[in-house]
Amino acid sequence: MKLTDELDLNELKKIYLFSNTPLYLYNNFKRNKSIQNLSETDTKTLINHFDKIIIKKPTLDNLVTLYALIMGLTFKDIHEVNGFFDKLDIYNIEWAKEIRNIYKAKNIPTQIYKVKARIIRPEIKIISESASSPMQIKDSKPIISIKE
Amino acid sequence: MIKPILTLCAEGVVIDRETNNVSIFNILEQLSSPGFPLFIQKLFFFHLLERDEGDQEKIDMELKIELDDNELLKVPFRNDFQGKMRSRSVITIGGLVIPNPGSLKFNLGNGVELSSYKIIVNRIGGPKAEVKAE
Repeated sequence: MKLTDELDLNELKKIYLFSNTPLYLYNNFKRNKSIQNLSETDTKTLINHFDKIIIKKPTLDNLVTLYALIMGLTFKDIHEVNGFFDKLDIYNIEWAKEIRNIYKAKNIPTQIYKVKARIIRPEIKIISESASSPMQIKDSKPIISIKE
Repeated sequence: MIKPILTLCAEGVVIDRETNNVSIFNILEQLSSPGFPLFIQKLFFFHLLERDEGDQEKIDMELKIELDDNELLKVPFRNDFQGKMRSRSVITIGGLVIPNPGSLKFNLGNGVELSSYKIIVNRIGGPKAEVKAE
């Protein structure tokens, strides 16, 4: 099965034909479920597929697929796709440059970090009979007390 | 000079894939508990920074969480502006133990403090035991 077989080409062609501005195309392609699914494919595979289609005959299907691939790449981290978007100018795709500019303008770099909870291991401590409480809490660590 | 635009803690921070917009919900202003230590299962720290022309693009930063003057957690991370003037970070803290009531402070800095966010941690009335002498 080809990478772009899952694309909803009929719907995408409709959007393309109705598009009067690059922003309309950008927003509607970005919302399209089949493009969102396509964007799950790794960056290298998408770029390789773009390179294969760009040399083919410029039919409506191919043009829409190229836009779909460009839009799929707009879901990726800017570090991964910067090189691809920078060289888009060399291809004869009408709104590629505008789509690149919209993508770059909308992209605010975002760092996402996850910090895991510190594992607190119970501390076993022997306390004498004279201790007033069978449970002591020190430094937030639960202490299991055993009477002598 | 790096300037903080927004710093806050919330129960949820979501980034929309389509629009790349951030949605923040349930901003934490204060916490109340009848008993301590208090365990917070998950919380999000969000900040948006702005740099000037000529400032570095990649800055090593640190988030320090303190309760009054006691350090609870330190998170080193890198803030990358990627050629832009603004950058944001979302730090998910998957579990935080607050040993006692006080002032929970989230300090963001890179050697010097850039911004901070404070949450008041209160003890609320729990069950009371009254002992009376005969």
